Amino acid sequence: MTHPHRRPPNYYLRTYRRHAHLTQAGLAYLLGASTGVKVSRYESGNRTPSLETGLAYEAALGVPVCTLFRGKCEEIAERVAKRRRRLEAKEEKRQRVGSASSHAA
Amino acid sequence: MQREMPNTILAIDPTSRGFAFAVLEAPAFLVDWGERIVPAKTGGLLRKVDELLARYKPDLLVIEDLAVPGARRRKRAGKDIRSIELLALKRGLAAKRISRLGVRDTFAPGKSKFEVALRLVEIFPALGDRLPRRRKAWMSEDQRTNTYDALGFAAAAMAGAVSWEGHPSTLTPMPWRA
Repeated sequence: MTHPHRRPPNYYLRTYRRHAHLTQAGLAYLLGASTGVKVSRYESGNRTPSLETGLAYEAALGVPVCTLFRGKCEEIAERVAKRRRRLEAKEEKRQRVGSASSHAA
Repeated sequence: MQREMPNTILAIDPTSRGFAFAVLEAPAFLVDWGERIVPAKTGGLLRKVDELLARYKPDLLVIEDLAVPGARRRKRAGKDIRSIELLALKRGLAAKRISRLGVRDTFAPGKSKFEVALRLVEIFPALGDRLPRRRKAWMSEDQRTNTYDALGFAAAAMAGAVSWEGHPSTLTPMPWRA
């Protein structure tokens, strides 16, 4: 089910941490950080987690990265789909030009 | 009649210390819950509610219905509920009133608030670690109960579209039942 408005990238971080019964400090320890400050910043959107941290999140909470960062995932998927359409159109145009030039020859 | 299901529901229950809230996403995903402590007469209540509205962008705000017979709340709670409802309307948000009896009839007909909270914990196991012990007659109510009250309102509002009977998470064993 798609949302009428896209959620911010950090929207579900706090939710899934609380579903796992973890404190910010506890999760920070699992992620390899010394204090819960980093987790707090990830959850408030003041800091974007790296790929390594994202994967650590998945391992710590048992939730796929794309579910944790649903907003970001949807945004990236949309951008890739747009580029794919553009690439396909370009490919089609090239084939048309190629077939036209072969006919002319 | 098939009711239209709201995507995100925010339920707010004013308490003596501030308010408890629960955010539920369709069909039955608990996004956030807790209590916000707001000193009385500072005007912080509406500011904090507004923060929640901005963060979760709910489709529906659920509050307690005080117009039904048997509804007993303090004067300040009634005033807070009315001002929260007004704020929701100002933000172009639909507000729904649900009575405590309605919540009880949805989850544990004829039973106590504790039984309702137990049923909610079965449906939403994430709240299991916050449930206070059953209250004795001489004890005052635990402040943590407020969160279950708010969640009860949200879940009852969703109940029109979702059947809580046989919910898969009811199979999760509760640690204090062993």
